[in-house]
Amino acid sequence: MKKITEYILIIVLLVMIVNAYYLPFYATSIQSNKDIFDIISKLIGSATSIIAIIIGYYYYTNRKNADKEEAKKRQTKNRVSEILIYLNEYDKNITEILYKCCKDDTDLSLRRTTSERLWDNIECMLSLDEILFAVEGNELKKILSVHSYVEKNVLIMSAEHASIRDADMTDVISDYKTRMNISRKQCFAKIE
Amino acid sequence: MTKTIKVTEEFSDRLTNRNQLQGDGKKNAEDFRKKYLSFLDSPDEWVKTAIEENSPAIIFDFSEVKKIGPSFANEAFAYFTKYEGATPKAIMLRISFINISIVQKEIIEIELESGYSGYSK
Repeated sequence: MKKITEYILIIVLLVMIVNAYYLPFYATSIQSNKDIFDIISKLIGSATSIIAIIIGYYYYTNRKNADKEEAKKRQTKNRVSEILIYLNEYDKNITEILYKCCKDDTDLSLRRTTSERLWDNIECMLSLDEILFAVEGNELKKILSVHSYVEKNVLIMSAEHASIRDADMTDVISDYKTRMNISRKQCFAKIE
Repeated sequence: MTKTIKVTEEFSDRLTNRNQLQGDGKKNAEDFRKKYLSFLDSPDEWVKTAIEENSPAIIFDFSEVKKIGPSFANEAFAYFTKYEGATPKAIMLRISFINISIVQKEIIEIELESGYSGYSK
């Protein structure tokens, strides 16, 4: 379609050039006012059609680019929404660990492994081009920071079920919540 | 000539364990650091002249590395933040990474910025 528009534009320009070349000959053969009006109306007609075609061409290409940008933004929003689903699931697992909702070591280990797998999915999705296109380095760091805290925290990821005391968890819960909120906010900012 | 380590071929494609106590304990960050970065484990290596004249000191090729965990990055690279002069920027100058994904690089940078946290169990 773009090629066809370009060809039409070239043809119209050629007609215009030919018209301009023959203008002096028209001028020498002017017999009356009617001829002058004929020449002027022909020139105006050609100029108007050229302007219309140029405007149409630019509208067409800009519209196409705008549509592409819009599609890219929509795709990014969909991806970030999917990341948020995984992030919520991850948060649910970690919260259950923090509030000692696990029955025993096996249950605790299962939740830790599940959290790791969920985070692997989040990392995979963050590595996709449409996400990297929309997320800057610092924003990416803020999203990733929550898992940096979780994965290195002995109480969340390594301690045995019986050794975890509620009193030890208070500060951890507060730190975790702060980081999770930052991470979530960054994601929400991308789908607004 | 600066030595290049192909991490997947020479070590592992999953960099997750901090030490023998974490996970299955295999292919852990402590071993990684001792194997490839022991020459940086000295205050002399982090003085301004050493950083300016001998950078990068080593290059890690991260092709095919599937995962790097925060604990691993902390133990292997952020460990050096205990030395004066070993700022995140200086560490990234001395230790260079190629074919590394943006997410993996950010994980390493987060650990360098947060500093060495050690480990106890």
